[in-house]
Amino acid sequence: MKFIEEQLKKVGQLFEKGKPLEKLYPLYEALDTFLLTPGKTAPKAPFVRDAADLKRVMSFVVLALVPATLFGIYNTGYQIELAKGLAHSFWGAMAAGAWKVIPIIVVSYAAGGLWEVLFAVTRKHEINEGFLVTGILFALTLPPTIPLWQVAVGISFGVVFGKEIFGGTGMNVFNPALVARAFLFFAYPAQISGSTAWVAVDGYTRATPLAVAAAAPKGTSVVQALADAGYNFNNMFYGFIPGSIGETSALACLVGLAFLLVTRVASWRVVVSCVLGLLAMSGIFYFLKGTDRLAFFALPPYWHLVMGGFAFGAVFMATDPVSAAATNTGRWIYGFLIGVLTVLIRVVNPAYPEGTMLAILFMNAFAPLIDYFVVENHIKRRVRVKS
Amino acid sequence: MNTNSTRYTFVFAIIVCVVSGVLLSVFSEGLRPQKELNEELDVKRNILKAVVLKEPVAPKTKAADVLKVYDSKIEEVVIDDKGNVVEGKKPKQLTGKDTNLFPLYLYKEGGQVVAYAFPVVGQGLWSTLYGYLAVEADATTIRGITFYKHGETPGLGGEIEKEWFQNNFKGKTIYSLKDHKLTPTIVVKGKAADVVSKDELSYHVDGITAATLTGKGVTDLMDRWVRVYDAYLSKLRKI
Amino acid sequence: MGEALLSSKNQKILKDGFWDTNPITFQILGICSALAVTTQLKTALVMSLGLTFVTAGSNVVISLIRNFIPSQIRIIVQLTVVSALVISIDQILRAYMFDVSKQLSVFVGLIITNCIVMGRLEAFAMGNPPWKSFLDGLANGAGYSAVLIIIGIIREIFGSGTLLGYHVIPASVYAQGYVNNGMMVLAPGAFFLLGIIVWIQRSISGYKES
Repeated sequence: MKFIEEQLKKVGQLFEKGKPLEKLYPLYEALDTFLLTPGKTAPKAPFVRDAADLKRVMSFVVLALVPATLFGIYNTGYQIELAKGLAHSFWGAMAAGAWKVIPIIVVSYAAGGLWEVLFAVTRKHEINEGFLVTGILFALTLPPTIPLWQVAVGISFGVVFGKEIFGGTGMNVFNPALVARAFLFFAYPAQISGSTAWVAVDGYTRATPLAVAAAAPKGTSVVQALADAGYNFNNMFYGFIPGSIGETSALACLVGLAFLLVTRVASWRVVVSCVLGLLAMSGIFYFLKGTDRLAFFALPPYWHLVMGGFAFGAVFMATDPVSAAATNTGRWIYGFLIGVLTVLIRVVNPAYPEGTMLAILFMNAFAPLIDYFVVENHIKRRVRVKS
Repeated sequence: MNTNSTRYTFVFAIIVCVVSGVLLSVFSEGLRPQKELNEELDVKRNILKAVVLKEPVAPKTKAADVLKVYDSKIEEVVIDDKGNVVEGKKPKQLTGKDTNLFPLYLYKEGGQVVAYAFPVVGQGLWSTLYGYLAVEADATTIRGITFYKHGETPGLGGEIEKEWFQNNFKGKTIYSLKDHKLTPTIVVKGKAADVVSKDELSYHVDGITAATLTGKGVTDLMDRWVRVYDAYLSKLRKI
Repeated sequence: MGEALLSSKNQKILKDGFWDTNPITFQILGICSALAVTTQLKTALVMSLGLTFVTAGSNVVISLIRNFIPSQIRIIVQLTVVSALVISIDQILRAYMFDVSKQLSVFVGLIITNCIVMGRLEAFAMGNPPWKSFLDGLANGAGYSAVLIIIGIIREIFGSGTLLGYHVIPASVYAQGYVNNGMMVLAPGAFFLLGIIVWIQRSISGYKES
């Protein structure tokens, strides 16, 4: 440890004012504080109330994403084996998956990192460690077939328009990874939706569970339609299904969630209220089901939890401390509405099979307003009690 | 001069109204023939496109040429819901009240009917789709389809205006001579060859990736209008 | 009037309208049409010409009769003049540029309610002589046009791969896996571009939020 410290100090002198590498100071600073405890305290939100600083928090999130990432790599390979009819082997699947997934992650970090450094250098602020999270989050929300140039374009948009435009980490209204994904979703819809995108084998088509459920004709059983397509609650929970890289396994997300809750990085209120909102809305639909209604209505509410990107979104996206509501009451409202909107978009809107991304972005926009009313209300109550 | 008196204000307002009124009437009336010609031309271009006369409808074609081709080759008739031609009526005279009268365009080459074209309208995902469908002289085979107006998502549902999609319809049949039943074209999800059997390929076309609902709109529209015009077309088939 | 046609004062009128107080990037007016008609360069060009003509023309007309307009009904009079000009343009387009007028649809008509036009009439033409008013209308129209044309070019190239209808992105690029950007064809695409242009223009011209 001592050795690293000394070496860094030595190198660091090169980056000081007036030295040749002065302009690249942010780069040095990022490395230095990533390895060692930073010498400064955080000047603006998100604040954390213990010894950890923002960088530590973000590292925790990256750690929490490890199970989802590893599983995503394995599953990408596993789906390729299934589609090609190859014999299954664990390491074979890992290798095939890594061949597809690693380049996506690398491009996401490289292209996004470039913008991050560019802004840090011109604006003379430090490199935002939030990017470590954004880069991997974004990669995990993409289908394994995504063209790499689109990954680069998407993350560039996410970093610049999702974050830097608002002034950098802590000032952004929306989750940058979701902004990046939404951009790709609207700009290049053919590569990120439909039934050809989810398995990395050319010409192979398989619809995701949500697409199958949405397409089930009136009067038929949606559970049966899913079973016919090879989907049941168990394989959707474990995640052995086609989908975006990191989102298929609800189990991997739960492991990540446990870690985030133990380290107190994520707000349990947001996650719990997301789930409640989802169950409430899908419960209403379930109650209304009938032969003249969409078959999707009759899906058992708890199935929604393991389908599509909900688990991933609720655990890793909705809980983003910067773009979520910041008051406790606000968090309940914010999460609950994310759940409600997710189901509404999934079931009723025919154009979008998945609603998690849009629901979270939408509620990101409302989070400050929710907080405002919560605080106002609180002040009013205090005043009333006083008088 | 007191420009704020009531009298002055009235006089001024009247002068402004009269001047601009006269100006606009002159413009509107003077340009009327040209405007009507344009609207007509637009309809005629699309009909010609549907009956697949490639050359004369390229966007740069002169208006006069389009009209010349149209007038020499297209005969306009109106049919009723029994499939009989209504004498003395032209498609132009149809109004919203004529719910059981339909325009039909006969494409003739040297006095022989080569194709029949008729308008198709229906609901897509976001918007109403407008187009023309043309059927060969055998009243069974599709000669061409065109969509000229819609508000679907560009790149997804909007692909219906592209040639690759419209070309898929060519050669499909709207009537099965084997089973003696109508077979309006169905837009499938994915590739038609993967989804339906070989026999059914004659009335199924490839869908558009990630635009299932626009495809469904096209299917519904085909079903509706093929049935309407079958009243007329069925009389032409040699069975 | 001994003033030269392009005296330094008049040059300032031109520069203000085009750059310093650009109607779109500085005053944030005319956004609706800037989003709606810029999917193709052609429609953007026609809209630009239309608006420039209306702004300059109505500025001159109003300036000529500015001393005779009763102040109680001045807004109505301005509106009448603008409407008359706009409807004439719409009629001409329908007669001679039918395709373009179909694409522009209601937006030509909406020039009537375009805040830039009314804004210039109230702010400038009501208090200045015809030549100056003409220059002011021209400059503001050009400022609006510049932004529209930039957005139109970018949106058409990236959204459809064409420019003025001609293919500019070679087929070999598509063969490599490139696809047109669907966002550019939708209104949000224009919104982001507009944001970037405002950002760039304001950082160059040194705009400060007051």
